[in-house]
Amino acid sequence: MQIYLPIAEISVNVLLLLGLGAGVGFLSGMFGVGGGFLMTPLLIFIGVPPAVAVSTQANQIAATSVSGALAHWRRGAVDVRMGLYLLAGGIAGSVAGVQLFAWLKSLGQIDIAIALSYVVFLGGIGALMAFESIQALRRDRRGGQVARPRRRRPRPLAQRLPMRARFPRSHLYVSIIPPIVIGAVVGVLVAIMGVGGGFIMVPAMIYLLRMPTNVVVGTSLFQIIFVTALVTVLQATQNHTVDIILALLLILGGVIGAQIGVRAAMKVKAEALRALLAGLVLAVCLKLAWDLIATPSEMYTLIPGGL
Amino acid sequence: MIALVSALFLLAAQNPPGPSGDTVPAGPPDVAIALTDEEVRVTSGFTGARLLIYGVAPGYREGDDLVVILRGPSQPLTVMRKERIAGLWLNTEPASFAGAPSYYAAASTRPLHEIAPPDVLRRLGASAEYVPLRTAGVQSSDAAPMISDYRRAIIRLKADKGLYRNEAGEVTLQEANLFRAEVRLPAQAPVGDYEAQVILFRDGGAAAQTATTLTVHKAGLGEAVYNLAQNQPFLYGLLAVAAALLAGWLAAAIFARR
Repeated sequence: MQIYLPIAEISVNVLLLLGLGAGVGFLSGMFGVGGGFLMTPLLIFIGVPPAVAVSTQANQIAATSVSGALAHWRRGAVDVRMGLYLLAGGIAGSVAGVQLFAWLKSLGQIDIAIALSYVVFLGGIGALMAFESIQALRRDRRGGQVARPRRRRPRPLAQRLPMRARFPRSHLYVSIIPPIVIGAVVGVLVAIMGVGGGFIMVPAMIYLLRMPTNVVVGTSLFQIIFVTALVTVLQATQNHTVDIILALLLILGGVIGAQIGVRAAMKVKAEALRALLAGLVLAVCLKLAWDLIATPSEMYTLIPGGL
Repeated sequence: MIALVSALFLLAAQNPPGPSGDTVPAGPPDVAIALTDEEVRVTSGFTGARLLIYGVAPGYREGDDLVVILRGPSQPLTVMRKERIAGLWLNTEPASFAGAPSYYAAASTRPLHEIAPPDVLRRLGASAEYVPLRTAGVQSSDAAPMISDYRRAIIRLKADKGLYRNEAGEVTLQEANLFRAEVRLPAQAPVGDYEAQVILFRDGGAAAQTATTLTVHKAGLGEAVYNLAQNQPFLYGLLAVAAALLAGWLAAAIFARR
């Protein structure tokens, strides 16, 4: 059954979109990743214009992060104070990111910019994940944990910078500058790449801010809700690139897939699957990179409007 | 999707040439035109619509051909050419076109190349291959000599999307010189004022022609979404967010209970 996506201006099979949503939702439920970094390239592969894929993903991630954040909220695993500082940065970053997006769009280079940033990020993440899962599989084979030498960690940057504030929920007394900067960087990524940015925010919160791991995911999701909501409105207003029908179909598939993924994660051994996910990320990255360097079959592009 | 019977043309080629083989009409033939409905409401499905145009050509004789051309609202357009820079294929050398028809269809009784020679078709703009495109400016001087490549690219890319099309055999004659033209309107074809033109060809030349404007409206969910996104983008954005938040909250509520 074909459905016409009014903003993407293509006809796509409904079942394909629901399946994509469910598949990526399954992975995100299983591994606790947002999935935006996989969904956007997959949408591009099925013919959705990259600019529409990115903006629509921001809309979809708003939905998935609400579900996730509510679950963490019930367990009290959200540091609202920290979330608000991250959000302050996120607002600035996403406003700047949408301007950058509009500028690149007017130059006719937005599609290439999106693909290029994905190649860089997916390459990095895929390599890290592959490395980690290979190590984990090896550890399993050798049987038991290898004791790592404990290093003395230096005093984190967040404690050396000025403008410190107390974060009772995280038991921290740190400068507010790092959370704002982290939020801003992630805000730009939401606008340009259509990702939630959890894959950057979570490690940054753990290693830079030294937040306790039990509040990290909830707080990151809390911030992502507001930033993706803002980006959706800004992209719709400025670039007309949010496809609400595409978003709703992906949300529907994603919600179901994520629930199955969460349940599956309890039964299946995750390490082997993590290696599979790493492989998938690297494959998507290579395909995007190939499309950037291979001689295109069509040498011309049409851009509506004058320059 | 189905069929919208809407436009009725009266095409009267006066001064019909005599049977002696006098091929050129003596003067510009008088052309009468009538439309039953100037508004076309297309119930757009998810894959597009078929548009039916009816008309009458009293001067039609055996061996004549009819071409019905439908042109969508003109829109500015920029074409860029891909070029390898530092290993990557980037868009370069933009050329702007002030007006390119957003949609173009030429329906005809026979394949156009059998009806008239290329130069006649080109002069009349009577083929998707010869859609007239006005340039607005070329940003890079390198692009200037290649402007005909750019024109061909527009026509090729629009044809790939089904927006520029020749539909041979889609004009059929019925009794009493009544003709019926059928064109496909893909879902991307915009709404607005379309120009409908009918040309009567006799012996490789245009013997009579007439044109009129008809307004294309679309009904359906896709169109409503598109219009809202274009005309009320802020409201549209808020709606998109509200829908997403509601869906996320619903999902959490439903699955938390189990």
